[in-house]
Amino acid sequence: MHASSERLGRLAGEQAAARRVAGLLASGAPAAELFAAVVQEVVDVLDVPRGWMFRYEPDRSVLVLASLNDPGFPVGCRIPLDGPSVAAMIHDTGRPARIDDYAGLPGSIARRASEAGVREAFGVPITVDGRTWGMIGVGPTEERPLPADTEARLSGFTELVASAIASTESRDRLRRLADWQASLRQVATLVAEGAPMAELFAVAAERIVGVLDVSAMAVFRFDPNRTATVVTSVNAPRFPIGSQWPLDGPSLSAEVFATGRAARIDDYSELAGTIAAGVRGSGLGSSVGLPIIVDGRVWGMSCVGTTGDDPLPAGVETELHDFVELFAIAISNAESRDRLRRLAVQQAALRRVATRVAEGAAPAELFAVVAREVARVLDVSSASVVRFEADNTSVVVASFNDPGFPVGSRWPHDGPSLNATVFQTGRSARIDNYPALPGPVAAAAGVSGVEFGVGVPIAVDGEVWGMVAVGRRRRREELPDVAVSSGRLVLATESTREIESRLSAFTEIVATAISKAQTLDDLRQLAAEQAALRHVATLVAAAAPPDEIFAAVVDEVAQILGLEGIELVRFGADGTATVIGASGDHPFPAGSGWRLGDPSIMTAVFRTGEPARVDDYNELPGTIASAARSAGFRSAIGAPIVVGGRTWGVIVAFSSLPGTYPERSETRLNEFTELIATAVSNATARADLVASRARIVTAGDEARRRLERNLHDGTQQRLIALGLDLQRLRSTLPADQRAVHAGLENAERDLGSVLEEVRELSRGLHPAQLSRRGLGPSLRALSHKSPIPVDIEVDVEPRPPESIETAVYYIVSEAITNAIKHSHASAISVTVARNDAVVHAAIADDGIGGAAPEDGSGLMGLNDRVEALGGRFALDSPRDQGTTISIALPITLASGPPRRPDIAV
Amino acid sequence: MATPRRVVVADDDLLVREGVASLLSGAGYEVTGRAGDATALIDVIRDSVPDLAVIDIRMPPTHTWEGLDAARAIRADFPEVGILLLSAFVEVETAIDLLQSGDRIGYLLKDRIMKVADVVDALERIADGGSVVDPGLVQALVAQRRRGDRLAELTAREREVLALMAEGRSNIGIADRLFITEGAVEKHVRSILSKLGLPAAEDSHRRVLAVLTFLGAS
Repeated sequence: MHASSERLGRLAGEQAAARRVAGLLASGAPAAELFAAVVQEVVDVLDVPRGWMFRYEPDRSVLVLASLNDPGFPVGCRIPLDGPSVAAMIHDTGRPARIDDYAGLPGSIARRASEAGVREAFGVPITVDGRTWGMIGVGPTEERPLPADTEARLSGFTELVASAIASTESRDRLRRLADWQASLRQVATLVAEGAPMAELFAVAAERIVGVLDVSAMAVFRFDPNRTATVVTSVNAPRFPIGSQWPLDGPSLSAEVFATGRAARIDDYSELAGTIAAGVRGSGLGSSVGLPIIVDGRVWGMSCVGTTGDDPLPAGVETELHDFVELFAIAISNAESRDRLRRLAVQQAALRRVATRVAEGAAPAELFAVVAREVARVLDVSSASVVRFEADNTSVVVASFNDPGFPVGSRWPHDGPSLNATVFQTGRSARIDNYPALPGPVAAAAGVSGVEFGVGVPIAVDGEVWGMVAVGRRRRREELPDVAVSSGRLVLATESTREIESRLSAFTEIVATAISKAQTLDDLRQLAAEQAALRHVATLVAAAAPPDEIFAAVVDEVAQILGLEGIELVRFGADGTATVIGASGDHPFPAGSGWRLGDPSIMTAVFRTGEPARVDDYNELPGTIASAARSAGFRSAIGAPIVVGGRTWGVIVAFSSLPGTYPERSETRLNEFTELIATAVSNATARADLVASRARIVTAGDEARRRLERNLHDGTQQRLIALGLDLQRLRSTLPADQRAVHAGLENAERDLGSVLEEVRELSRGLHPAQLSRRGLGPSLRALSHKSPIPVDIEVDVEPRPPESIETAVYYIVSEAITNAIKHSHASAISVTVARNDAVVHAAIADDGIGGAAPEDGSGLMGLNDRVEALGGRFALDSPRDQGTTISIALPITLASGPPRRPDIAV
Repeated sequence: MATPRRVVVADDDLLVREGVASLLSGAGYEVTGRAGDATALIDVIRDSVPDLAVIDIRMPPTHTWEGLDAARAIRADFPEVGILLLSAFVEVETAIDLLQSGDRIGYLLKDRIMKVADVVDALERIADGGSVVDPGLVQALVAQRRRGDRLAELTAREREVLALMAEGRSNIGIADRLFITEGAVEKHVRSILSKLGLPAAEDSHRRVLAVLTFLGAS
């Protein structure tokens, strides 16, 4: 009896101590004060002379958070765990630990303990979210030994401290998560709207600095000459937009450029190089950079830095990653748009030239038009048309903005020059650095201010007649500051190969005009080809499904080339090829698969990435050749489809004659492959964007679920404990203190209504019973609260993934709320059903109708949510005839989108 | 009370757990065990085989339905223990689920423990063999608007009686509450059951289930 009342008394004492700490906790006292209070209470409760609280640091040391009666362990001091100690044992085992005698033990803690006269110590872990966060320790003496059940009695305090830390940490995390998601969503919306790149980067950089724990942010674009250009920067004064930096190391840029992977540098103070100096000059320290990978190539780098001495937190890479992915999608989109625009400009220019040819323009005038259009289309500084003479010289017949090469001037082919190379080889040529070359042509290029040039031959009736040449100034001049505002700065510079392929379209017209005998025929052909290209380009620009585009390409190519056997093939990762489009009746039907390896066009293009031809299938072994023979084909030509630097597929044209094709067949194929590549890259970017938006929505739902749990397990429990306290307090009051009784009763009532509010709030965040009971019961529980009768019919067996259930629940909940607010209906009906791949839901009311997504009724948000999950949203709301909202959500996509989905073909 | 009823308390929150225990001690119960999770709860039940167990639904590790599952396990292994489940949300499906596992079960909104009289009332009714459903849940169900609602045919008095039936009260309990005779209650009950098309049930427990099932199927 006596022992039990003593136990009760002690328990009451501990309860009181725990409540005092909980009170401090609830009042939001500073952490230091809270920790000191906990140690004080622990020391009082256990009646021992000394106590400590430590936090474990990542570098295997402890930080002293609180210390009572022990000068050896001052608050704020960091001590390495370098020898045996209670702190080290708890750190390693996660369990309570004891040291009976520190005397003679090695290590920092033991030394300090011995110096302070501490012999014995005991400690218990503070466990937060499953990890050993810190410890509380006490130092008994012989006069004041530890009670037997010390461990059990300490656990109440460690639980309290852990719950305080967990709730602070989770509050911080949730707030940051919410900000981060809002920012991501804003950037994703800008990407979806096709906002100018400069604006996108500026907004994203501001938001990133706002929501991530970083001081500065910059985006670099990698340029061909091992430099990087700043395209956006915030709080990095030495890295203004447009500034160029050599990729010298050690630096984030150099490392990301070299490896294509994320990089981190925590200490710049000792590093050499211009970038490191710039980082120091900007007052920055620890930095992290992530590659921006666009269509398989490392386009640039996105990096963040901090001004403090501490390294950036470990999770920064992950948080930055989703932004960087959006950048890549946006850049890919912008590049696609730009390719289409350039193509359109080029088509128009070609048409103007063709028109002049058709009108019978004099050759000199025609050449001048070609030079001017070429200069305009290719965005080069100068252009000229040159005729090769029999005496091994060339004569300039047209010159645009090219004063070094006036019309009529004659040039010998003896020094290194485009003229000489094109003349001798009959193929395209390139000069990267005129000023470094000797000879009169190089000197004339200097007069034109040209350092870089490309020449493409004009072949007339099989002979090299002359060439079209273009020149550019140095590349750095191509990146003026004004380009930033136009949004063009971010685009990749045109490759030499692209220039050549575009130029060749013009040289062909010139050749056509020159070859009088064929002029009219070829022009008709050209017109047909242009029309075909326009048709396909229109489909690409309208984002038609890839299947439709492939079919159109196959048909148009078959007509233009006059060949019955055309096939469009996609290469698989596993060394196979699949026919995704075919014209006519032949052995390579759409959908058929072929193993690469046997000699064939497919195999050759797959291996080399270059156009290929087979002159006679009779001479080839293997299944593909024999299939071709069996269909009566003798020869074929093929052109690669290159997407993002990778050989994505091939288009093949078969002929029933050995080695004969219409003229320029390969070039014509090439023009179509470019359009196919653009279509494929567009579709991939769109799929990426859908997946990214879905991830953001799902992450938001998950955050709401956690927030609900936090409210429940933290706030509600604490309020209830407080209510119990009030009640106990009231029960101990003498009955005659009526006023105090009444006051306490009031407080209890108020507390009850606060609890109800919290309950409603947390129910709105996430329905607790959804995961256990599914959509039907959860939606019915929702309908219990509705002032308008709600009929609910749910048939979704087997249950869809939780993310889909959550999405449907929110959508129906929002739609019902909307109907209650705006519809004036007398009844609402909800039906939810599923098939293999799709969940359908309809929410209908018999109210006033006339709802529109624009009127701020929440319908816009519903629409956004459904579309972000790859679903469809439909609103039917004729005036006075009720409102029906129908949605369809794909089950596969939202339940776990692959990070880079392949487009379906 | 001659011999105090013996109670165990399970809640993962230290302060709430101790608060409830001290409240019950103050109300004359003997608290024979405390538990912070379902496993510990089964252990203390096995050790002390109490008359009653007060259990929070959400407990570690997942903080979802551990208390509910523990209640089922206790019902299977220790059928003599009456159970009162506390939950931050009360839901009709959960109530029906629970009541289907037998009588001497109660299901209350957690806030109610701040009113000692309500808790004692519920515990005593459970200990005496009855069932208890949270009045807040019943009110919401009775107040719910339905299309073609058969509840509309009930008189105001019959609605009051229906709500008390759904809370698990016996005819005597209802009579006490409404200050009418037991005979009058019986008459109302017969009228209600016939208007709603429900079968007459011989005990109050079956009656609670039938009424709740009717109200829950909206």
